[in-house]
Amino acid sequence: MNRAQRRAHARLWPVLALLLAAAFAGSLLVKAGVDRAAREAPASPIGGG
Amino acid sequence: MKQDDFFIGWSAETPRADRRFLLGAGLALIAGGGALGAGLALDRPPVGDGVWDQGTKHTLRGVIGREPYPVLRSRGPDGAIRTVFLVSSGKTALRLDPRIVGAGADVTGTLITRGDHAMMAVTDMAAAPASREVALLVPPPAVDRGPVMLVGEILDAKCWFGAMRPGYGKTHKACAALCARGGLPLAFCQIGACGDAVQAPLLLDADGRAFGRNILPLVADPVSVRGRLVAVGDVLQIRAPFSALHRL
Amino acid sequence: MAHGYRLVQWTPFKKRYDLALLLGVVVFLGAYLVAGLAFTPPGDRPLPIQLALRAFGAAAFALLTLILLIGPLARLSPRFTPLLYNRRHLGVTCFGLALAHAGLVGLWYHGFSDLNPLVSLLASNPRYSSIQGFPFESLGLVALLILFVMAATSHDFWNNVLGPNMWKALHMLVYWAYGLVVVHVMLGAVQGEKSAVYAAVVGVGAGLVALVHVLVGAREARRDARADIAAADGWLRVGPPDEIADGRARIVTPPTGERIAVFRDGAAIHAISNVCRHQGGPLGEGRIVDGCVTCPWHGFQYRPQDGRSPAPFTERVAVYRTRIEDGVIFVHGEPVFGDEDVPPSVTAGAAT
Repeated sequence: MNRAQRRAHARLWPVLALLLAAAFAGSLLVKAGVDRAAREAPASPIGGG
Repeated sequence: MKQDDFFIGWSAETPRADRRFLLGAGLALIAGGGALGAGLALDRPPVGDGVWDQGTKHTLRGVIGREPYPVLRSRGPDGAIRTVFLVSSGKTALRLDPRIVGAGADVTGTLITRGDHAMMAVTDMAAAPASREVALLVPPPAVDRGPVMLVGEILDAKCWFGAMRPGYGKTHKACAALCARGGLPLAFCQIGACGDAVQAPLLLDADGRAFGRNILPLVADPVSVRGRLVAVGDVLQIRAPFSALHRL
Repeated sequence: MAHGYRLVQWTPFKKRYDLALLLGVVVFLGAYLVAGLAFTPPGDRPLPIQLALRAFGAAAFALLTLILLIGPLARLSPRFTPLLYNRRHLGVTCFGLALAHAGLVGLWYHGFSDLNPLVSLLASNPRYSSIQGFPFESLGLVALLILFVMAATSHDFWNNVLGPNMWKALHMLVYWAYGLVVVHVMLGAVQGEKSAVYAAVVGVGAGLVALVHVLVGAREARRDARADIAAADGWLRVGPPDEIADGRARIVTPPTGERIAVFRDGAAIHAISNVCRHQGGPLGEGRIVDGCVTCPWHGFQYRPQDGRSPAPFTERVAVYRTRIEDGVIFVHGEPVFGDEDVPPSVTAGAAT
């Protein structure tokens, strides 16, 4: 690669890595939040009516 | 490094060291790929035992109902009265001839079944001669079984009964929305049990009618619902106003 | 290459490479389908088409991860360089797998209705402002479009039409496509998973890709920043000739401009641009074969005295002047693009 391309790679990847990490962590957090809300919601079983 | 150790892609000869390394790496990647593929296939949430047997046509005799969804009330092989939901072959509701509603009919199609639930993708429908047997199949009154508070997912019943496996969850959301938009029955499963449950009550508004398109954004999302459990014959329903549906 | 185009120029290496690729894809998909259909109880068995659309998606993700690892790995160790040679066949295959995934999804989840599948895909879920509910399908669609553009322009014909810089800039979109695919999977399939296996596979794959790219990028940037010092008259010190193996090069980094590959061919010292005209491969990591500097990536060749590819090829790279003083090679940082040959410097000892 030429100098400009090397510079583009060196600048792009730290940003992209951070974005990926944030998206990865964010999606897992959201999923965990929904799972917790589902567990903690005061649900009555269908058969119990 | 000898001259012939240098890898040149277009050359007829690949250097021995490269050959050995690439062969090893290639075999490792292929084996690893196989293990990964099998591992990912085995690691999945349950899909349930719904079945759409598209190879076998059945003809059932019963009484046609229209509200909230087209159904056929007929007598099953064990003599019990069974409600079979009637749908078309795609993601659209079945158009019923108003003259046939409330009357006896022979309905032909393929069956989609899960647990005690049954649905028929209708190919043919004909008026049946009036009989005492058919007259007994008029819909029973609704029985209120009290309040319920449930957390789960709004399903399109056709896919969940077995048209798709799996037929719930986020990856299936667009399909569920299409089915709901097409007017197919909506049902409700409790979170964590959507995969392996065998029973899912219908989800209807407070008056027992089908929801309109306002429910589309909530389909297949994790929601809570506070409403009343109602039994109409063998069909269990959750009746709740739209305002009692909340996304988690 | 510049002598007329054939669809694919088959070489023995390419055939073996593609055979391994085909085997890999078949084994992955086969293992996925067999495990998903044969090793599950009949009461809990996915429909083959839904299993297949997942298998295609997983295969495309795994292959794209592999593709993106090759480049930086080849910078870390030359052992991986041969994998670069035919990388575009991996890319086109990856697009094919992604297309199969999208096609099955479009048919199965968005079809069988009176709504256009594309409208269904983009509009059936309007929650673009939510994370949990985000219409992840649209992310996959954008990634697929990027992969399509890349697959369509993967042939050297397009490299020549667009020029290597434009071509590379276009193909660097693959990094964004990969990012989109990661989010597509995390907000799609992973949201419905009960176990952590899917998330772990995505995390390890994407983490590895990001890690090697950041490492290699930082290393190369450091090397560029620590340029070899040029004297006031523009000459750079390379070192004694016997420190360069015969037929190989030492790479020097001038303060401005491209890196320079200083080759020793017997007693002759040549300097040539380190950037291959084809895809920017590092010529200084290649060697002299049949009197020509040969690129380690795809074997493009240049005569060291004038930087031109031997006929019928027409590629050309810059060459540089050299001189030897007190047993030390110097190269001038200004490239030469003239019609005259740049004569080599000749080492006194004619070391072999």
